[in-house]
Amino acid sequence: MKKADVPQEESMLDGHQRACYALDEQGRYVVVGSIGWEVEKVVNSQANDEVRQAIVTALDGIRAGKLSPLAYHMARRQMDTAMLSAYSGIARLRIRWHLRPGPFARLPEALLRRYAEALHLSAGELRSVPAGDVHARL
Amino acid sequence: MRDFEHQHAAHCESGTVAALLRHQGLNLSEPMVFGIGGGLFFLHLSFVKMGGIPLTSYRDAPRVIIKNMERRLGVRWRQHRYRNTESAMRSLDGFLATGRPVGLQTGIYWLSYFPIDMRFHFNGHNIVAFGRQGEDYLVSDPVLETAVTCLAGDLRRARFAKGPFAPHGLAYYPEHVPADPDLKAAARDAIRQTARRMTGIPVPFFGVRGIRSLASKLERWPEKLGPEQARKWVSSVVRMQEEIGTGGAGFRFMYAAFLQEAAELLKTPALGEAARDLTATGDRWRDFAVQGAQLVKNNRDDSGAYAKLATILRECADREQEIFTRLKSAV
Repeated sequence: MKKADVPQEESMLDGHQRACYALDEQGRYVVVGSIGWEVEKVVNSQANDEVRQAIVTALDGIRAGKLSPLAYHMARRQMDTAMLSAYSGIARLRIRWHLRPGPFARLPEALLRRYAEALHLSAGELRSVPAGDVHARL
Repeated sequence: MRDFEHQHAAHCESGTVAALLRHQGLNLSEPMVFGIGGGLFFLHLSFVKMGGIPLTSYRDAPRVIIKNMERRLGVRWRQHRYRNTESAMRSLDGFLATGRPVGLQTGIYWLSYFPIDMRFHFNGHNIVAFGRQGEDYLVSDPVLETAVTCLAGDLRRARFAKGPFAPHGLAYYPEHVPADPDLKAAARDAIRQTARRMTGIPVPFFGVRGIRSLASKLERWPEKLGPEQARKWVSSVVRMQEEIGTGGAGFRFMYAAFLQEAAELLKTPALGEAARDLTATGDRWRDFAVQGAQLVKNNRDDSGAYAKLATILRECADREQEIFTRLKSAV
């Protein structure tokens, strides 16, 4: 790749630059900052859409009365039960149980705090979900 | 102790190691660290899944660059892991108080100085902490253009991220850096080993064999997984190649830069030719990324596109096999 070919396109880098190695006019490698590349944007959006989709699915489940708010907060932290288990020290099966609205509502304060800490939220946030549509990732 | 100097790098591990060594007076470029560190590789493990997607990597295992600095240059590292956040942060504060920058392994998800769309759970991200600013920390993240301030809470969580590659607070710094290491021998040894690993592992997961096996697997993805899932898997390969900080073309350009430097160091023109050929192969890898992204974006069935992608992969495998075979006898 030549210096002039380093992509400078709109991207998710949000003003940051990525260091690329490219050839200068003398054919020597130099570091060139890239503000973004369409290709990166496409594959990054694909991954982020997946996160957003998981959030929407969780919210739908909660509104249908099938899932507890824990499902939403797990989705927005991009966690599955295995990862939340690693963070909280709570067994996966128990987490699956707490994804149901009833058992979640009856959670003792201590356990709720453990979930909140693992998800980096306050206990109050953990109990609530946003009202409208959620487009943002966090 | 002198002031820590931030330098923009393509990759977190080679950038962190280069920065720590430079601070101790050993000034090596990032490609040199990456090359001597034996960073370049390829692997595709269809039976190891991360988030349901098979593992593809364009480089060797995390921390291999750090280890090879010890083996090839005689750098002696001190490494600390911790039981809990409090002792890890206290220990870090102690290092910083004596003016010692330290490398930290972190989970990128918790580092809020990154744009939100860049934050995924990946626990092998290396950064340098080099000072305090009130409660918070001065951090040199090699993949950013400038040094940043990292919130204390972010750093605490990032150092104790959980899941695959959990860092357990890992902090490291060079305890001894040789003033005048034998770079020539190190570069020769590194090139030989990378060439062997790229061409000589007799299982179809690693090196050029791994690239070929990805080609034949990828061709069957649409029928095996359905169009949507197949696109998602292609997308993840392209991300591993371009999005995670490789300097372009899955580290191929950075390695070519290393070969270019090594050609001068060892006065071996054959390495310069290999650098040129690897650059051309890198350009093909970029074509693979462009066409892969098109497939992801178009969002419609196109089985011809998968065959085209596989053809590019096979071409890259053939070229890399030829280059690395040549390199074995060139050094």
